[in-house]
Amino acid sequence: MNFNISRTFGLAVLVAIGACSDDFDPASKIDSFRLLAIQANPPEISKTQPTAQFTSLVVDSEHLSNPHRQSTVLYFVCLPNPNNPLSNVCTKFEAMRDPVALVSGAMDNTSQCNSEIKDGDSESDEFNGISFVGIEACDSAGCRDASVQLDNSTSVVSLPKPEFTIPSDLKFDGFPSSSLLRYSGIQVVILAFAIDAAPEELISGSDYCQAMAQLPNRLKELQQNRTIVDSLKRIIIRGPDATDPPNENPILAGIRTRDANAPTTFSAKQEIEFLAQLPAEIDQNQLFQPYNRILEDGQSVELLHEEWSYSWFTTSGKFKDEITLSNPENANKWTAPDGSASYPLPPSGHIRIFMVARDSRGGTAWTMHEMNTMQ
Amino acid sequence: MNRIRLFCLTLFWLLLPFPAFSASLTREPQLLEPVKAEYSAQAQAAGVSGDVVLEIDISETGSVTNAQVLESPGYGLDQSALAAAKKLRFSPAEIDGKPAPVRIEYRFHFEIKPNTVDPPKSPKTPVVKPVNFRGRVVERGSKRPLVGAMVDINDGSVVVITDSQGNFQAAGIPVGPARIVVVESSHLRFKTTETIEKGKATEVTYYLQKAKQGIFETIVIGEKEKKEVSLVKISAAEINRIAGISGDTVKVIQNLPGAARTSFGSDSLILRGGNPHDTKVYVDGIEVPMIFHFGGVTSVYSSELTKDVEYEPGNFGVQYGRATAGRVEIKSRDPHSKQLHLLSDLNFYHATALAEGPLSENVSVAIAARRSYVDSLLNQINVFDSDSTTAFSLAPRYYDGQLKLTWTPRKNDAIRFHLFGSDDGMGLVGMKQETQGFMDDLNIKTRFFRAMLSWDHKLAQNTRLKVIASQGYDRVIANVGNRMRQDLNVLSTIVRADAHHELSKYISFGLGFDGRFERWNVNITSPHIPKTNEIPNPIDLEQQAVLMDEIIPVWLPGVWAEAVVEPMDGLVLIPGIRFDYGTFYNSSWFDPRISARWTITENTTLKGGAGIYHQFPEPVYVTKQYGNPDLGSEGSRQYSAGIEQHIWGPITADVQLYYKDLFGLTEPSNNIIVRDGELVEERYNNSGGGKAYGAEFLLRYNADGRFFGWLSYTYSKTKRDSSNIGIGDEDVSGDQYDQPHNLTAVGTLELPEIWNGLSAGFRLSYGSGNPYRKIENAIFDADGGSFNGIQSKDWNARLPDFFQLDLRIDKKWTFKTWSFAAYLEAKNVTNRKNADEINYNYDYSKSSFSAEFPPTILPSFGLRAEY
Repeated sequence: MNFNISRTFGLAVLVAIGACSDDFDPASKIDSFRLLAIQANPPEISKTQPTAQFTSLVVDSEHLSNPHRQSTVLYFVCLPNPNNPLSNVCTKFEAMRDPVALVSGAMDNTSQCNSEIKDGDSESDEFNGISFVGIEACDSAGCRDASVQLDNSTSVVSLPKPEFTIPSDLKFDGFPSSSLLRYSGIQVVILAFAIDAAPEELISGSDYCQAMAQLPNRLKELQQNRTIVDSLKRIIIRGPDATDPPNENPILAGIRTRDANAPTTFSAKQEIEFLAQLPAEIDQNQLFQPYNRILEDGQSVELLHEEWSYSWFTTSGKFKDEITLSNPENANKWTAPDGSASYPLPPSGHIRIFMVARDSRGGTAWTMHEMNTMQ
Repeated sequence: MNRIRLFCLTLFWLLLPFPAFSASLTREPQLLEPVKAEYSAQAQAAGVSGDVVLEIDISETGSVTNAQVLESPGYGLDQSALAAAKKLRFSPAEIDGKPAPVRIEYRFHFEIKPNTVDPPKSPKTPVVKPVNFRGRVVERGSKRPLVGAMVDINDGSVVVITDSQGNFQAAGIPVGPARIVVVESSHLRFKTTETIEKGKATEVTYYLQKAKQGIFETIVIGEKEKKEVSLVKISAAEINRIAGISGDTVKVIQNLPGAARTSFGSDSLILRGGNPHDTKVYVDGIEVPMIFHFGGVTSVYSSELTKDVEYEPGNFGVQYGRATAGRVEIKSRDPHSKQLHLLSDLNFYHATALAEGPLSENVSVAIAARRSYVDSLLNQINVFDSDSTTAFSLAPRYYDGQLKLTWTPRKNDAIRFHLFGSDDGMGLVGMKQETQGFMDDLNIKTRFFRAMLSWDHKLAQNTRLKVIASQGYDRVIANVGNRMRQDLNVLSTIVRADAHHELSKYISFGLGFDGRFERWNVNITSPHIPKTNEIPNPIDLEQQAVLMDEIIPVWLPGVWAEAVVEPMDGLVLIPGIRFDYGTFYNSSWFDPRISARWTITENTTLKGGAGIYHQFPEPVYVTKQYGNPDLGSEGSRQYSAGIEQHIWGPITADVQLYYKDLFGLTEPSNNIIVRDGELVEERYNNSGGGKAYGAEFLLRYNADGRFFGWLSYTYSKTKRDSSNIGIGDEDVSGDQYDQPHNLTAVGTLELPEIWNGLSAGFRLSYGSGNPYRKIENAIFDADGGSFNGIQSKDWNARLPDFFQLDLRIDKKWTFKTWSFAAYLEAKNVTNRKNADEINYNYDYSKSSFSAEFPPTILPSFGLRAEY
């Protein structure tokens, strides 16, 4: 047996000598329009809880000076091919080369005034099962339901809330009892496009149907000169044989330091160690849910408790680590801006710190903390 | 009366054989008939003494065919020497065991003796004179006995020749001072004065300085029997002083035609467009899992015990199989059987020690060991940032060791026991998490050893038999965080048996068995494997695991047969066929191959080859858990043709063209198939194909005592339908190893004018940058919190061209019984930052090239002491 270890060894050597590092800005630095997280609530759906709603964490460095600057998030759902539930076109490298074109095609094939999922009778249609499911408007206060005032109308039209309900014809009956899918469930992929443009710039027309019909073209136009973050998120339709309790999103109480609440002021170059603040009233064993890590043949191999990861972001200053873990819980050192070109002091004196928690099973939550320059 | 005292001194061989390429000089020409050169009247009148140095060409029969003057004091002595040289007769020199023409330096010494009056001679009764002067002549430094050295006592009064042990003795040397001159063809003339005492036998040992360092220490890079298509030979003396490779005999391959450049950290060999898996590496006929330590730093087998490195980038013979690209084999040498030899070598990366010598008259043993100290250095210096949590749990280190015992119980038998192995490892903890993931620590260990017993037997004058039995153990442990752990160990039993019979001068046959039995013990825990073309799914990675804990027996028998036919003078045809079968893979094949060499003139040889080559896919792709158990073999049809041409003097050229048709390559598959009554993903199939073609050019300046070097250029194009085979990799086209242009120039110049034993060398490398796939889009995976770069489906971009210049100076000091050498080497002296790979920022909106190692000038050193 000839072991193919050269890649691993090469990687190890490069890591060891630090040869692959570069001086790019870290992901934790918010200096532009960013999509940091998407939450599905709940992250797992079932017959008894058939609907999930979506919301996003969109941030913009300009929000500090212009808190009402608006952006939009469009949501689409990709159902797996019913003939091959292991395959989903929205998770293929090939399809995601130009996802805007993918959803434009999907919109073209979908009844524009009908938000129902196209169930796709044709197996050859690559856009089968892709459907528009909602829209959010975002500003510095967060993302929420969107509404627009259409041409020729004085009234405000509410746009669809981003949510997904299990289609009535999606059943597990066709899968044999040995199928892993009956245990692990089916994944549904949500495509989200965070666009640095207000909803009115995307949804416009004489009426809603016409506005939605023009959406793909508007999206393509905006793609030329606006930032669009393409994103995907998965939710799970629980299988009938699932034994684990339904997954829930992490619950956060805020951000703290080792022995106190997070400070509200900072001074230049100050170093602060931040940690996640968890709700004291919930037992940790309950908070970090138990689940079975499974073999692909459906057998349980080990009972685990969730380990959350915390991604950290800041509008100014810098974090030592991009990610910290819940077990063991490590603090993340934040260094306040020093006034240098790389880390200038914010003109407003105002800083926002975001922390996104992920349970690695699809559950997501976030919290934000604001600080001001110490006078 | 002027008495002319003349004797001749052969100083050293220039080793410029007339065949197109330098080869192993297996027997030096010996002077059979000394000829006295007449003193010219002009020189006699002027009272001129001195040496005339000639360069003379000796034919295969030992006659002198040409002579020219290199040095002369004039006065007509050069004409006298030329006239005398034409009458010299030698025993034929042999190259690779066959008589061959050579060129040597030859010195006539002219000396005018003062007029003396000979005393009247009176008849005496002959008396047996006692031996009163005896000794031994050995090479300075290596203490190798010099056979056939001429010991001249008192200006030719007595001349004796050393025996097979380098010993000599002389009787009746007059008491008092004796002038001694020792002459041996490949060593510098040695002159001294001894005092002979009455009633005592004076015993001496003379240490002669080699005329050219290492000229006969030939390590052959290339095929040995000169019957295959590929042919490159480089001496150990050259390898030891090539800039940039730190004296490693195997690493020199990477500077030869057919081999693509590999980046630092890669232990792969990319030969003629083949993937690393397509080339097999061997030690003494036994396959080993890796040829380089630790990402290509140095080879796993000691250069000090290496006799040959056989390098065949393609069209190799039927003795070897299960590979669709090339073959590299380290051939170990036998231990010294005459004397103790100790060696210690210390360089930038590691220390080596070797001890060898005879245990008895027909048993000799060698033991060598090497240990890197990179780990000690890394532990001393602060490799990581001061605020980094990353640290070595096991600093990178490698060991290797060799033990070889040779027993020659009879003239026709040789039995060898050979034990060798290698051990590499490194570990990292606290690696920084850039994204949500599980790779916070990394631990890798690789270890293998082989114990071999071989028997060479000459059944009859024209029949040879060789049997090798080997037991091997390989182990690879690779842990990445707590989600991916693999522990593979393989017990392998290999038996090779080769028989050769020479039917007549024109035809001989070979027949062999090449069988392996392996027992794989595979223990792997890995995250869920992304489906072909699928963006990795962080939920599946976390929630699902693949376990593989199996013991898999594999039986790989192979047999081969070949003929060596000489239908006409100079033309050699080698047709052969090989059959292989593998139980685990459930594949078998017949591979017919043929090669030809046609020496059309003394200076020109045409060569060519064609053949079919098969190999088993990488085992992991055949497993049920990770691949497709029905996956079949991969293959290539190889064609090559070339010419070897002696151009002039020391300059030779070799040009080869090759074409490879690749078929049955493993390719990712999205198909859903029925296996054992169930619908399953096919994952991989054999629908891949491709082609590789190119031209290889080697221009050599063979060592002439002043300079050696070569210019190697390879043009290579490779195209595969799918060249990104890996677990979960996508289906792409192009070739990730394609490097159209590779040029290497190597040269070393001796500088005795400045300092005896000093030389300086360079290596210049230029090559096309490696291909990469452009990022066409980036998708934020909200479940993982990171971006996935979506690469193009083709290898549609290329890193900037590679250029590197390395320099080196060597100095060797030779003492009576030991020698000491040192070198200083500077890699990348132009301080160029060659692009090694492309790096992206977190969302793939920005990119830059990371510099290949060394990113700046890297000085290094080496010290070597030899007893």
